[in-house]
Amino acid sequence: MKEQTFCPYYSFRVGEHEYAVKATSIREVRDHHDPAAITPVFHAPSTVSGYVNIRGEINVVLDLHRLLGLSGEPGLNRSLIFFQESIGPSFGILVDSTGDIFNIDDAILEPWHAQANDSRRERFTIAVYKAEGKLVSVLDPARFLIHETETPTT
Amino acid sequence: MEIDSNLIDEFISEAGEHLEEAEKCLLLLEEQTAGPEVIDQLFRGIHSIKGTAGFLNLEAIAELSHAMENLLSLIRAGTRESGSEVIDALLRGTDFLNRMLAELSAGKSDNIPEYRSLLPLLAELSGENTSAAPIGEKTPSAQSKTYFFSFPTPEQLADLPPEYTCFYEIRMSGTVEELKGAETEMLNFGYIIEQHDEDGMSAVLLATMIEADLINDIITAPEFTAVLLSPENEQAPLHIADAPAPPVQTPPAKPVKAASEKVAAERTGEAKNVPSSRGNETVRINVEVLDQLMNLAGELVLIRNQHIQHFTGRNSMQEEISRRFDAVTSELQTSIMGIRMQPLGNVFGKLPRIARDLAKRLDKKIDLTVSGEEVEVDKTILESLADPLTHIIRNSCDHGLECTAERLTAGKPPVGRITVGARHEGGQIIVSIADDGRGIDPEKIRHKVLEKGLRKEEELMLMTPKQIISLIMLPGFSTAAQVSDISGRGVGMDVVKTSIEKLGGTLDIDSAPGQGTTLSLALPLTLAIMPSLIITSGGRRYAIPQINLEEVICLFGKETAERIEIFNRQEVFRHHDNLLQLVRLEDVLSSAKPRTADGPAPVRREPVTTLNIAVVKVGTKRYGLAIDSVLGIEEIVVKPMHPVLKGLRCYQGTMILGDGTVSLILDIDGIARHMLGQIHCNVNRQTPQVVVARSDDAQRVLTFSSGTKENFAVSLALVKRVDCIDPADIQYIGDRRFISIDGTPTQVISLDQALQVSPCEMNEDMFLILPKHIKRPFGILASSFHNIENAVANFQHCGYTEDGILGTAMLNGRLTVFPDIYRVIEKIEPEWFAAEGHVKHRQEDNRAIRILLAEDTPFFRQLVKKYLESDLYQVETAANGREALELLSKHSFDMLLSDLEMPLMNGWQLVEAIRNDSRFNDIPAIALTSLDSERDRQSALQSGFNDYIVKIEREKFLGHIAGFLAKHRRKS
Repeated sequence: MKEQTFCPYYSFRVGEHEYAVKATSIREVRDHHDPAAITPVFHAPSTVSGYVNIRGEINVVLDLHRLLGLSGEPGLNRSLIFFQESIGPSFGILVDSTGDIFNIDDAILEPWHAQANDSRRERFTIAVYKAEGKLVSVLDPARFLIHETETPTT
Repeated sequence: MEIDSNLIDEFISEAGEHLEEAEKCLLLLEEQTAGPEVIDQLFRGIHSIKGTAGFLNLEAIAELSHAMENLLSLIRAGTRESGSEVIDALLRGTDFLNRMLAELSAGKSDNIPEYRSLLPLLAELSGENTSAAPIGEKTPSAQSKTYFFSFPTPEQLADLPPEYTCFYEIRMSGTVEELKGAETEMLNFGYIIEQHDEDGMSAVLLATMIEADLINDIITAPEFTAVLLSPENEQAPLHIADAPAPPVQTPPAKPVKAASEKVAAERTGEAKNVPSSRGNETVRINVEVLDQLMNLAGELVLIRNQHIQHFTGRNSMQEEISRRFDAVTSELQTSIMGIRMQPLGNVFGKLPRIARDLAKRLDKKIDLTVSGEEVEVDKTILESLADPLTHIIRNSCDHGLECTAERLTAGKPPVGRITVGARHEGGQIIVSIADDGRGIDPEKIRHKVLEKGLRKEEELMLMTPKQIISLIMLPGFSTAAQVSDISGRGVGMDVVKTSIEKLGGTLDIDSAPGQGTTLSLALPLTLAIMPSLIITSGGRRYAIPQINLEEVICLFGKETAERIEIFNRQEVFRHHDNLLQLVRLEDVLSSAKPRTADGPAPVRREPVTTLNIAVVKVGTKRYGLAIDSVLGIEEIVVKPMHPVLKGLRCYQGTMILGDGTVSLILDIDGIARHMLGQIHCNVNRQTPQVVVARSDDAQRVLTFSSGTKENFAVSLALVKRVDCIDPADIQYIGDRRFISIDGTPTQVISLDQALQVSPCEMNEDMFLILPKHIKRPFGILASSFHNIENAVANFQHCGYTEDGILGTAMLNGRLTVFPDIYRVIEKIEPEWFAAEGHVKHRQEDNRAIRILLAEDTPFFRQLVKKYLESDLYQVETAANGREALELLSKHSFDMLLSDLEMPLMNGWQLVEAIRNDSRFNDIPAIALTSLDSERDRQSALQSGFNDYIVKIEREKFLGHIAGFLAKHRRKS
């Protein structure tokens, strides 16, 4: 029988869909963040929400809602997830709500290979799994920053 | 080749990762425990850097990584062992690559010349003959028996202290810093008689008392050879870096790096003449750790501030704790800032040598003393201080101090003294350089400034002697009567001033004639902290670095609309007799796309209660930045932009405000490029300020005098610029006068040469009007320059006319002559126009051609009519489309020339009406306009014009008309 390996994941919600990232990639989570505390950066790509100060370190915040190319306006009281330096230089993402840490058996993860013509969501996805009848996409946070090269919008 | 900056950015981050990996791999390799996969990874990393760099045309990176790859391929193939020397060389290679990447990401070229010094070593290490040699040994080319220097001459020897009995030829290679360091080190032990520097290599003739067996211990360069010179020229190599079998007389060789480090460590403990580094033990720390420490200290300061706000005055115990918390926090912040600090001695050390060399060359006796070497400044400031300081010392030696005879006559001691000192003062570092030389005579400066036209007499009257002395820092001022090769050519103190100001410092000069000159440089302690003006725009706070700030002005009520004009598609306001362009920060922030010349023109705004304008400067550029409100000056800790946002040019960094909010630091230069990039943005303070108009501004005229009697005016649309000249600079070829303008010989003409007007008056200062649209450089002399006036030239009153005059009109109650400057030039230099082939199309049969000209601006109507008539065409004019249409129905014309923007009926409507009227729908029509964009061109052609001419260069215009008519005739 195949050996089981569990890995901790952290789940969160953006729009209608549930997502997860490896819990070890996360540095810090701030729930119900005051949107006014984020300093907007004009001329930046629309996916960049702005700068936020985390204990004297200036972090750039990406809006996952926009990054995933979701339609509609995201809610106001959202949460911030900051990632470890190994994922990318001081950055975090805005999500609609945060979930929990849980272990997933690697075996139930279905690897996802991004295709060139994939939707944005699928391009960040490295695997999917089923939990309580829902499909959860496991995202690779390192790809968020790399995708931050789209043309600036006004 | 223009390369996408995104690609470069990607390459920088990717290459950075490769290099980080490569360094780890190299260290693993050194431990000899690494498996083949490590060398594979290393090779792939460097290979991929090379590949991408080649693709991106980054030649320096490609060249260096190629050399490294060569060496690595040998190691990978097993033909070369990875000894510590190889690892050293490769690590230096990665260091260079990292620096190149840093240059690139700073937007500069990747080419840092020092890296070339490594190429020979890499090549040598990968060379076939060395592959067989034991690791750690090499045969430096410097071992060859050719010597750079010969034994010092008796004259050279006479200048040296008698105890300097040993002379060495030392050849070193390394980075510029390493070589400089090594030279400084040598100077502690002896004197450099001669020196020869090349890229990364340096050969030095050193006189010292150090015996041959110790000489290699005082040289700190990474690689070097030292050869003892003897009078009989029987040079014997003493030491070759890394040579395993040392020649007799030398101690057993050790790896040079280790040896020099050890020596340095020993000497810092013992040597008496090494200032400021006594007994320091050092730890290497990653800059990232430092930055993090700085961040945390900054955050701690914020918490302390909040703490003080909330807890003061509760009870004495709490207050005591609060106070201590405050004190410790401040001290912690200072210590952490101190980490970046380095003693000024590092730069001061090389000054005595410079003074000594110059003393010899200038045959002066100079004694330079240095104090305050232990004063510390930020590393970055220290590095940028070296050049200005050298320049100042050179100036002092060259111009400041007199020669011995002169000093004796003045009753001074024969030896001139220069003292260089440094001290802390009010949060700044003050570096002062004082000499007891002849001083600066304010009268001479006055004279020179007037002579060069840098300032007006009236201005100088109001200045104190000290202020006048400080005028030597004006660009274009150089006091030396003769240009000497020591203090440069005409570039002098202004360069020093600029570089000091770049560092956020100031330069102050004081001098007493006959007694000496003192220069004081006030420098900030660190660059990481920047005094900045905190302002708001759209409810957000931003910082403007104080270095870029000139002043803040506030306009009230009606002024907010009246003082701002729209000129040349740009808002401008008059400030201290200068026209400054106005940029509104809200506009900057709301538009991510740079403003272009054909973008929407600004609209006149309604008056508001108040309008704050920060007058900002960067280099010679100055402009006004409209902001919402000013909060005050704060010392801010600058942090770089996040890599994702590095491409945004309107910001230069970020900072954290007192309440913990992140705020953006504006990039004044970037904003100028963003908003004014396509538009002429330079108000030059040295020449009379002429904000030059584009051709759509025919309504503005420049008024001037030539002779004593007449008042002249010329349209700004025809003027390139106006220069202030010194008539003494005018030179003659036969009867023709020339003057050099920006290095171009420009023919000077005066209106009385072509027109019957009073002769041009020659003043001390003359102005030269340089017309636009002319291939050969001409300038028209003006004795005085009155104003730029917003005037409609109405030629209907013209009472007098002659060939070369467009007309006359009343301007501000004065009869003003509008000369046709092109015709004037043509009258004076007919051969030139003939040579240009212009006369060819002035054909007699043009007389038969009738042209209808529709143009609303009287000035242009007159100008174009004159142009056409000068080619003998018959011209009828109309002031708008409707008039033109009426004329067309009454008379027959061969061609229509029409402006586009006109009242009543514009050019587009006119040509449409023509094309729909069977009586004359086949008349060739040319649109004549100042709108120069592809869109306007298309719209003109679509509405029925056959061609399109942009106003108005006479030669081109007439050529175009002739060509058009010829083509049209052929067709029909």
